[in-house]
Amino acid sequence: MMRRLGGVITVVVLLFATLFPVLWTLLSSFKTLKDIVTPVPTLLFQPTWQNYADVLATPSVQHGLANSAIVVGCSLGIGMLLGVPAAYALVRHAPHLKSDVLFYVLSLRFMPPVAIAIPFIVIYSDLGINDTRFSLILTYCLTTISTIIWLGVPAFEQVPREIEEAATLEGYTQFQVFQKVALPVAIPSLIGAILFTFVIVWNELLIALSLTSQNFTLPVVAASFTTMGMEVPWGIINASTILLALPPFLFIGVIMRFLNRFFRATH
Amino acid sequence: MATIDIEKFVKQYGPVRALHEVDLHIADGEFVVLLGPSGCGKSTMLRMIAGLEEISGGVLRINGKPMNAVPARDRDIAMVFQNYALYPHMTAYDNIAFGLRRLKVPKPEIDRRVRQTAELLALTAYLDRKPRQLSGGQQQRVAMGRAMIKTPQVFLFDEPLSNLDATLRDQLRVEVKKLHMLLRTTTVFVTHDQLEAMTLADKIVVMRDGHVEQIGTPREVYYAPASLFVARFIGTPAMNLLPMQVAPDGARLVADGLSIVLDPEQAAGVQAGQVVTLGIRPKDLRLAHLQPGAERHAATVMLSEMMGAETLMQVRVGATELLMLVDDRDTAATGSMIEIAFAPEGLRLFDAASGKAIVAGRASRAA
Repeated sequence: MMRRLGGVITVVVLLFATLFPVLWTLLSSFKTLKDIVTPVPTLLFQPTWQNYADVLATPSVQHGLANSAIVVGCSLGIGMLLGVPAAYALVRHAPHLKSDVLFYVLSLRFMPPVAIAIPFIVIYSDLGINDTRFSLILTYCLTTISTIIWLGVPAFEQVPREIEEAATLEGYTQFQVFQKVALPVAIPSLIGAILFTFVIVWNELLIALSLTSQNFTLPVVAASFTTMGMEVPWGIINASTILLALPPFLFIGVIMRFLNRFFRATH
Repeated sequence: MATIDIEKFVKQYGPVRALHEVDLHIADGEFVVLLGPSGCGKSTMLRMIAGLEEISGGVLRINGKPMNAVPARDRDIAMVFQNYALYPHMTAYDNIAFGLRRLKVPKPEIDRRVRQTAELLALTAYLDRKPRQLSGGQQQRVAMGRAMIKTPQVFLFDEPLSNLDATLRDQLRVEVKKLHMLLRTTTVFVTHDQLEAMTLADKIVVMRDGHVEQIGTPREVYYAPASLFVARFIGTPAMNLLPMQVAPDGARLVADGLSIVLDPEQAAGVQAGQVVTLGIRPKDLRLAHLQPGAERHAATVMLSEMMGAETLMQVRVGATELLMLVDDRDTAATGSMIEIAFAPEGLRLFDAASGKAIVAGRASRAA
């Protein structure tokens, strides 16, 4: 009993420590600057949408949001399209290459992003595609494809080989076996891989900061707010933080609903 | 309906040879059991027939047509796996219907056949359940339904009963047998359980280390094992195997305190002084009064285990310990002296060096 109580208290403390800053940011995003900077923190205040209106009205935010959506959407799409079949092929058809490829893929993440960014700037400038969405998508594809392969391999390894063999003996082609058996069985784990990859690229700041000056993404814009001038616009910073954090949440929600529907449909 | 011809099957894993030029002919509608300890190559051979393993050497023919280059999905073979291998994301119904869906069979026809199959396997009540909501026995019945619904040319079973508890195993074994009697589909069944092999098979293929030790009916492998390996592997309780030597007169076998007369036919197969192993099933050791006219041997009862209708007695003749199976009513008390006889038709001789049966006598001719 005492141990259970201790556990509950620990969880409550940890939850508070984790969630309170988020909650405070959320509250502050609805406060006027006067309510935010007051020395005595207020819990009761007149909520305002003004911060959000200001953030969304800022051209750089609109631009950054659109860029982020396009760049992350495309690189994640390409990452899934190439990474998921690659992971499957490694597990089923080229197991002897698996450990080497996995190490290679992981090694892509060893380098500090800034160190990669400088050669990329040179290459992209030579090709005349520097500071474009295209070059950013290209760069992010390295992350998305490699991360999805890295996390997709264990997802497909969980699929028992025999059920694929059973489907083969029922006359299904290799691709149909992948599509109708391996993929549906691996999908819960793959969803995790895709979510994780999305969060990595959505939050990516350093490469975007180095590779873009016109076609910046949302994290770059949000970072720029902190250096805006003498008077720190706390309300706007809080609102943009919430806006930045919102898509991953929504994304998870949508995926979860898709998952539920998917599993009910195949009943 | 199909015949299977296997010629000089070889399976090579790098430098390791898992199967050594195995030949096997399976007649249409025959139930063949590949039997052997783990690692003997029986599952590998099954998977080569299925097309799940590449054939390193030799030829596979089904109905006379070479199959080596035909991919698994075009061989029209159904397989039941040891771990059931059901599609976890589909219901029992969909698992069974999955193969027919590919063939674009009309929906009402699929439904009719799935329900008919389910009826046969007593699965009707479970069709809406996912595999994880089914017991092991139910899962394996679903797997059998999935295999039989498209009426394949050949059924393959890869140790399908090993993961089930004893009672279920007995029940399903009977169902497998009944299904085969009903459908008469050519079947290859892999197991390491000799009882399963004996009860199911038309023909048993005993395998060891990638070689075939013996091919024969259950009676042949039981009564006339071709080698010491088969003799040890088949039968519970195990066959008595006694190291002996042929006496100088060539008509008797002798060992420490034990001397057994050979019938002339068997004596003809051995030479004086030859070292042999004598095999005799516990059932073929009789109490002397039940085997009139036979040579009698004085024995001491060391231990007797009542096994129901029969009792297994451990007896000692001279320095040799023997197991004998007698009717429970004939049991003698531990420590008592009895007289026993070796039923002449039960004597099997093996060359001690090669382990091969020495061919002579009636039963060997049957093999």
